[in-house]
Amino acid sequence: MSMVKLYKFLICFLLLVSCSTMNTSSNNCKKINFVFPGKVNQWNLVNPEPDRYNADTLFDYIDGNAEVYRSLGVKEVLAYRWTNPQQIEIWLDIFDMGNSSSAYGAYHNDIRDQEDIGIGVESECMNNSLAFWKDHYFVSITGMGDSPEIKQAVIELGKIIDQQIPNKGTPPQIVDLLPEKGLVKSNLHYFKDYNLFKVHYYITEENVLQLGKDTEGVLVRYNLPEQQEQMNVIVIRYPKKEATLLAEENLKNLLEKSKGLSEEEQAKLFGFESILIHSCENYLILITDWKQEEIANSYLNQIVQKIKK
Amino acid sequence: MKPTRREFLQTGAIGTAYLIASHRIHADTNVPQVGEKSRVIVIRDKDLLNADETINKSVLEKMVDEGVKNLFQTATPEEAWKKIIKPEDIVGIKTNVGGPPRTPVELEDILKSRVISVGVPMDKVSVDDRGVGRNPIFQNSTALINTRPMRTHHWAGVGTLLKNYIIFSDNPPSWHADSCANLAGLWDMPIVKGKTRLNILVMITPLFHGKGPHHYNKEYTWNYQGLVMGIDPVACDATGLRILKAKRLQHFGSEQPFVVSPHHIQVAQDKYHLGNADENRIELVKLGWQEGFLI
Repeated sequence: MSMVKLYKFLICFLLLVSCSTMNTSSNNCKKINFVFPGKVNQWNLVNPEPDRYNADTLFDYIDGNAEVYRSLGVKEVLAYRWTNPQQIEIWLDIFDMGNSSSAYGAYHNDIRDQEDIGIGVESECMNNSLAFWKDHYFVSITGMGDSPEIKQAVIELGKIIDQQIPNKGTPPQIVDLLPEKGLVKSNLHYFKDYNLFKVHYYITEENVLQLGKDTEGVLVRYNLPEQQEQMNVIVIRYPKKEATLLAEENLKNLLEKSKGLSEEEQAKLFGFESILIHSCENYLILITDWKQEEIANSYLNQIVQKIKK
Repeated sequence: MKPTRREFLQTGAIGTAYLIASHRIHADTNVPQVGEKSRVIVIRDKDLLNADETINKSVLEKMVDEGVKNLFQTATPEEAWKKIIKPEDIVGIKTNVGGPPRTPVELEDILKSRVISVGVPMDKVSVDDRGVGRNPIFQNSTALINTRPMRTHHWAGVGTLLKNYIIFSDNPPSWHADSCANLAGLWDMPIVKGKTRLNILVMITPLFHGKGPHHYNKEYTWNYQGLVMGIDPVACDATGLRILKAKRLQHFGSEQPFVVSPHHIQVAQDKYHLGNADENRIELVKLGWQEGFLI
């Protein structure tokens, strides 16, 4: 091999490696062609070619729940079926979410309070199912029965996929703004637009927070038993400070206008009992359903400090 | 001094604080009663599921017939079916193929055969779910039978009889706001309004908790082997919800709120006056297998 060819090869190789190790925010890097053995334990792969769905066709596969993944920008879903001699199926779905933030969001759409078995970046294993995220992939494997054999096969399939995804990816940076103390990790939800946000939390009927394609946010529950306090923290990042201020003003205006309403009308209008509102740079911070305002303010201050760092 | 519920606070802290009245939707004793109590039948049979968990159709047939007989308080199931459907009716049986679990095909067959037994021609009855919008039977129907399994649901808290009509809407996602609170509004659409003669909430293997894209985990189902039947969909759903809540308490060891609040059932009573959700407005009749009834 001549030196020129060698250099060309090295450059191409380095480009490939750098591309595959970047924590990308778009789906411009590694798209993996997943390969499976024909049989895992007693389960046979029904068809090596998966059914493929995109954001437009995902409703055909998972009905209403498709909105969750569409909202997070799903690129493609590969659906494989495995079956054993007793015709008990395992459904294996690989969601290419386009970037690791969205993969994280897809995983954390559900409450994750079961065992992490070390597959992917985060995983949850139950008796007959496994979910994990890694790089820009969210993976869901569900057995349609309930037995130790199914669980073993589900875990084996998870490992096979895990091994084929070389990069880990990182959680969305907005999660780093959250104070640690009292954070209920299982109840942490990442969202981008209003469609997904309103599944997890109800501020009011309209999208007063102006959530859309350019926003991202995190909603998390805090439990502080020593202080007898529980509350929700919502942090939203807007593309510009102006958009943040507009959302803040919208919400405050609505609350001001509601002063003239009866208690019943107010209660119907809003999905929270108390709220603390503050914007900092291009972030809007909402702390809701607190009982002790000083605690909510202390958390708000901690988030502000982290934003300013 | 502690602020009153109506008082809005403007504090010296960096955040702006507001206090709001305590409950968005709540049972209100001033809400007018929706007619008389709603009669709801819960019927179970320990032999409904075979050893391999397939459905024993003959047992299911007996359950359906016994259920309608008791619901309409007739001497025979045949008399009850004659009260439900007339020979001149055009009948849509709205099923649910989502899930798992889905409405069992055995139940669809039984319902269709009972409708035909009353004298409705075969070409005037149809079973459908996602195709109802282009199904001429449903488009021209004079009577509907509404049946679906109860399972927890990621948008609505629980998938209910109320929710089963969402597919009649041209824009189903438009009903998703506030955990699908206003689903009862679907029942005002001309294509369904006033047509529903019978509701059957399938609780054979109900899903009491769910996760993931398919919102399904077998370990969160159990063999309840029951049907909840009534004329009032709100009362049937409220009864099904009580069963799910009781199962969740039994399974988790403490009261676990649903991930998404299923308040659309209460809203159906309080806002839309479609039926009765409050327990004291429901006349519950428990038939068949009593062990593990939960309510």
